[in-house]
Amino acid sequence: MLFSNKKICLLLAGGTAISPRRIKETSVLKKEDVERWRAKLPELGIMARVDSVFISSQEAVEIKLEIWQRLAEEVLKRYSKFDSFIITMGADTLLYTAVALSFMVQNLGKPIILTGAQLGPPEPVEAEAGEVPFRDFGSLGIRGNLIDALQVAALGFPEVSMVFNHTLFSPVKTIKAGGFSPRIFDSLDPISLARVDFSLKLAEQVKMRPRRRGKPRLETRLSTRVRLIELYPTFDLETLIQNTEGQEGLVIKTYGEELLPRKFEEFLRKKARDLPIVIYNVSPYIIKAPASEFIFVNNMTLETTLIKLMWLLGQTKSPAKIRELVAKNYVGEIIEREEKEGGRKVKNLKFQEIKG
Amino acid sequence: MKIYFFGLQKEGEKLNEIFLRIFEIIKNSGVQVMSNIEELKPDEFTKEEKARLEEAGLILLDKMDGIVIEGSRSNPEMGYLIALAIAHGKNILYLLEKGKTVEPVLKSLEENKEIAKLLKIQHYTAGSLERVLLEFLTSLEKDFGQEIPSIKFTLRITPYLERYLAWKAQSAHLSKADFLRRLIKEQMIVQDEEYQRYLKKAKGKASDFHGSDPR
Repeated sequence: MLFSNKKICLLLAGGTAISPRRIKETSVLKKEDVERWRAKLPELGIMARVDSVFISSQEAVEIKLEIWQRLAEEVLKRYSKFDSFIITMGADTLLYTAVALSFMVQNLGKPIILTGAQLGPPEPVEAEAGEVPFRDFGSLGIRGNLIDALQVAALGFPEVSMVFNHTLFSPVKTIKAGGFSPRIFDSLDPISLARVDFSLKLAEQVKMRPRRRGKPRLETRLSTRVRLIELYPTFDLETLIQNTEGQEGLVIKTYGEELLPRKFEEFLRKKARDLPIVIYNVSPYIIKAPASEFIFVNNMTLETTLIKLMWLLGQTKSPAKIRELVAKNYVGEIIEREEKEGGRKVKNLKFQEIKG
Repeated sequence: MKIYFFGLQKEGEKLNEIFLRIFEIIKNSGVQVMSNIEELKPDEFTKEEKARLEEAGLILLDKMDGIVIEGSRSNPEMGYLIALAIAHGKNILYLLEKGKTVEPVLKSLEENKEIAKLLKIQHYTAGSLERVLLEFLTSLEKDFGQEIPSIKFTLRITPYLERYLAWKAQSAHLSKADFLRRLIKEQMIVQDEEYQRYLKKAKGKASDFHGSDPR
């Protein structure tokens, strides 16, 4: 049979544009748009029974903690009725949402897959005969990503994951790719979780985790009083100090082996008595850890570090306890790094194919 | 032209004769055929081509001109392929042995006007299989009745040939590419007797087909 028996809940929270050229006409902007939108995607019905629920049409840049909490609650509300959950959102902040849900939904035993439309430029694009303009690639609207997300949902991969450009990502190891490539995301591990191309090719070392039994638990308290400070040459010390006021936690992204400018370090060492301060530096080289007052992170993505600190501060305000919990591997967010002469390297992963 | 052929071939099972026949008919018409069935020894992209696809965020399907599926035995993976092909705007020929019923989910898709332009469900017998396939391939060569050059082809030539080509194209007030396209279409194809006989045979089988309902 072509049709899988799985029941899938599709939560629409933005990122629903079918055509990059006609965003408003082909998106779900309010609850009443859902039926019209689904009628334009009849191919979804081949793969599984899909029930669509309108959550929000907020722009990606407007996404706040309340949306993350609502999404977690909506999943819990429907957990027993559906086999998998797909969430659509604007691509720009989707990574943060996916990381947040990874921590917020504990004891997850079913897939939660995030995806969205990846839009091309609004202006017409000249193309040579035979070339496909960037924004006409099949993957850019929601269509291709949604089909791939349904495939992953039907296979029952019991994690929070993201699907973009025919690739399945683990959000807690994913970074924004940057540059001009159509690839919007990349993985801090050299190999992403899986490729979706006529079947699902899962990295060998990433085993299908046994399905967790029982209902998931929600831990949706997060502190929003966490400041990310990125250091750069010629920064103004006074401005930096002001940026630390009124916060419950700090993440300082540093550069180079020396990590912190001396005067700033002196200031932060005093501050570290009252709030957790993470010094963030991901480098292929062996970096000397900073002073013991700080929490040194060199084995997680920046987005994961930031969200994890916010989430931990929702559970406790004790800097000592936070230091202990940052090192704990909750959802596979800690990337293993091998010590090797001349520096560190990340384990090289190979693919194996899995079918439903 | 590139076609992807998909059939349900279980591991360890003897290769289905029909799959082999479908593969051979498409291959013999001058088309590159890729497939999920390794026993057919299908065409493959080179390592470099695969790397370029991945770098550009594309998959194999993006480079296919059409999909042929033998659906007498089906599974959810086939459903995924059909859904993905439709999402990517690819033409699909879904073949069913005569007597097999069309799954309700596909029937409802066929009733959708937009999908019906892409998805063709055809029953076949041993006698009609070749004309059904050739008709599909012929339909892919045209787009709304006009032929559109959509396949990029890199040709390395010597300076001697390039000089001739530039001179001839200039005399004809055409670009070199347009000149070559016209040369192939209006002289080479027309004057190739063997190919003309092959086309006549294919058209003859297609026109025979229109007189009967295989379902």
